[in-house]
Amino acid sequence: MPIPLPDFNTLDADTVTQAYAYITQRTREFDPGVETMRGAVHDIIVYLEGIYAAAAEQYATTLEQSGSLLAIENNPELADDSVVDGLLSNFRVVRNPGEAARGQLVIVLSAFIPSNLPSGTVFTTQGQSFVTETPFSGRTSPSSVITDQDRLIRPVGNGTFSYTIDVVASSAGVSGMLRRGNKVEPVALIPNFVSAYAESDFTGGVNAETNTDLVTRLRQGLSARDVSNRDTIAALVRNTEEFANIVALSTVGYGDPEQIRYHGIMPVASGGRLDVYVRTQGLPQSIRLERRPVLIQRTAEGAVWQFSISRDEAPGFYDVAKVVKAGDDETTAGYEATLIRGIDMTDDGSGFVPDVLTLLEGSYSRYQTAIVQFVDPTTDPQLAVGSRADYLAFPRALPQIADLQNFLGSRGVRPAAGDVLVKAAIPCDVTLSFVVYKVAGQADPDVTAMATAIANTVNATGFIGRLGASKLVSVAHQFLAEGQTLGPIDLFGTIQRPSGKPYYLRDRAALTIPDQPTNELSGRTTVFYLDPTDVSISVLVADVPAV
Amino acid sequence: MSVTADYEGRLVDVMIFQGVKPGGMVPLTQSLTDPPENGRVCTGIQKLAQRWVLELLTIKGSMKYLPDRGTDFLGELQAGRLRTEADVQAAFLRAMVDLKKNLAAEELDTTPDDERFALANLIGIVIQPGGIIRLSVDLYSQAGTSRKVILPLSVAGV
Repeated sequence: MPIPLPDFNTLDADTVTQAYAYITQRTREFDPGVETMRGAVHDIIVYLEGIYAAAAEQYATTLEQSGSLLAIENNPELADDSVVDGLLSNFRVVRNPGEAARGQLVIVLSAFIPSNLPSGTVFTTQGQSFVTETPFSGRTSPSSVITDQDRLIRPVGNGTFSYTIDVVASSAGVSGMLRRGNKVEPVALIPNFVSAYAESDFTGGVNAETNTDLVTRLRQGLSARDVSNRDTIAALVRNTEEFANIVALSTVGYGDPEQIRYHGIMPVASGGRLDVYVRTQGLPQSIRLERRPVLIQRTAEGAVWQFSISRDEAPGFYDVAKVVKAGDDETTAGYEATLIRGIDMTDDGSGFVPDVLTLLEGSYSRYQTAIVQFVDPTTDPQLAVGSRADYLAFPRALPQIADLQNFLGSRGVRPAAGDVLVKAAIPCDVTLSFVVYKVAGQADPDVTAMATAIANTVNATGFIGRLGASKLVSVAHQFLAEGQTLGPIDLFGTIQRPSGKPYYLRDRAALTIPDQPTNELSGRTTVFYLDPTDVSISVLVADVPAV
Repeated sequence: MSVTADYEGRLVDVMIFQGVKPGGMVPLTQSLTDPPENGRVCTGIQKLAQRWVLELLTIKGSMKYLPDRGTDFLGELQAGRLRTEADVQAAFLRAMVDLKKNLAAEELDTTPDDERFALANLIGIVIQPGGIIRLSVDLYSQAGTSRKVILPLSVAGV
C-alpha cells in the first residue's frame, strides 16, 4: 500500500524550498557533472523531486506529531486525526463521532385541516438543518391518531392550530441544540404553514471528540475507576455509558477551602466529604412544569402567586427563567419569578443521603427545593386570595444531576469512609458584544455563525476559572474576510451564587471567577455559560482614508 | 562536431530540443530523444540557450512553489494583449528584466562565462497568418559567444 502523501498542491512553501535546495545539493554531490540550473535535469528531476521530498517530510512530521501521546498533548491541532485514531486504538479508545441533537418542533397552521409531512422534511435555522426521520400526519380527530407518527392538531387559541413532530439535527454537535421557542423555517412549502418553533430544549447533541478530548479520556480510561482521587472519579463517571458525554467535572474535597461540609464539634476539616461539581452539557436546559399556584396576596403591581418545586422535578436547577399563564404563547417573556430555596434531605429510597445541613451546602444539588413567587398583573381582580390557576414554569437546570448523585452515592460506588454530593456547577451567565469593522462594499460576515461558534467555544469549557477574550477573538476571526477587523469585546458575567445574591463581572480582557471559597464560589466550582442569543455583534464600515 | 573533450570539466544538461546543428538554420523538435538515438547532452552556449528558452516561455507563477520563475511574455501573448510589433518588442524587453534576474540568481561563481546570460537582442518579429509570431533573437553569453534562436509561437487574436 503506497504511503498516503499529502496533496502536492497544499504543501508548506518553506518546506518545499528547503527540500528543493537539499535535492539540488545532493544531486550535485552525487554527480558533479550534471547541471542543476534551469534545464531538463532541473525541470524534470530536481524540481519534481523537491516537491515529492517535501510531501514525504510533511507526512513524516504529521506522523511524528500524531504518533505519541506526548506529541498529541503538546499540539493537538497539528496531530492528524486518522493517525491519532490508530494510535489510541492500541488502548481500545475509539473517538466519539458526536451525536445529533433531537427534539420536537411545533408546527403552527392557519387552518384546522389534516397536514402531512413526509420523511426527510427539512427545517433550518441559524445555519443548522433539522430533518424528520419518519413521516408525520397531523390529524384533526383523536380517533384518527393511531400510530406514533399521527399527531393531534390542537387549536392554539388565536385562530391558529398546531401539532408536534420529532426531528433530528442533520449534523452531530451541540450547535443543533435548539432552545425552547427557537423558530425554524421549512425548506419546502407546507400548506397552511404559519410558523414552527422548538417545543422544548433539544437534547443529545454532542460534538465529535477532538484529539485533546481523546487523550484526556485515555488518561482517565487508564485510571482505576473508583472515587479514590480526582482522575479516578472522572474515569469512573466518563466510562459509565450513561454519563460518557459529561462536559466537565471538578471534585472538591479534603484540603479544598470550598469544602464546607464539616459538621464536627471542632471547627476543623475532618475529611470524608466529596463535592462533585459537574457540567453535564453545554447549556442548561429549560424544563417545562405545569403548576397550579395559589394566589397569596394582592399588591399594587398585581396578584402574587406562589408554588413549589420539589427536589425531584428539576434536580439542581439554577433558577426559574419565567412563568407563563397556561394557554398563553409559551415563547413570550412571561412573568419574572423569585425563589426561596430550601433543601429536602429526607431519604429518597436509596438508603443514603449525604451530610448536608444548610441551604448553601445543598444548593444546586438534587436535594434542592424552592418556593417560587411571581406577580401577574393581569389576574382577574375578582379572584379571591387562596384561589388557584394553571400556569407553566420553566426552571433552568442541567440534566442528570439526580442520576449522577444516585450513581456516585450508591453503596457500591461511594467511598466507604465518606460521602459524595453531586452539584450542578455554579453558573456564570455570560453576555458579550463587539463590533466588526468592514471595508465599504464588503459583504457582512456571517454574524449568526460567528455568534454560534463563540458560544460553542465557551460552552465546551470546564472549570477554567478565567474566560479570556483573546480565545473568543480567535474564534471570531475565522469568520472575517480580508480587511475586516474586530473591536474590543465587552464581556459581562452574572454569577448566580449559591447564597442567592448575584455577583457581576465586567471586563474587556477576561472574566475571572472570584475566590470566595467560604461561599463555595471559585474557579473549581463555577463554569461559564453563553447562549448564542446573548452574543451581540454589530457590523460597521471602517473609515479608511483615501490614499 | 563536439567531442568528449569539449565536456571535460563542464556541467552537462540533457538536450530538450533535438536536431541542433553547429551552424545554419535548422528546425528543432522538442523531445528528450531523437530516435534511433537515445538523446544528447549539452553545455556551453547551447545549454545557455536552452535555459533561456525555458525561462522565457515559462509563464510566471505556473511553477508551483517557484512563483518567481518564468516571465509574463507568453502569458501576455496568449491573452491576446500583443497586437503589434511594438507590443511584442515592449513585452520582450519587460520579460528580459525577470529573465536576467532569474538566470543570474541560479548561476554560481563556478559557472563558466559562456553559460552565463549577458543579453538577448530581438532582431526580428514576423507576424504570420494563422496566429503565428516568429521571433528571431540573438542570444549572447558573458564570454561573448552567441546563438541565434528563432521561436515560432502560436498566439491568440493576432
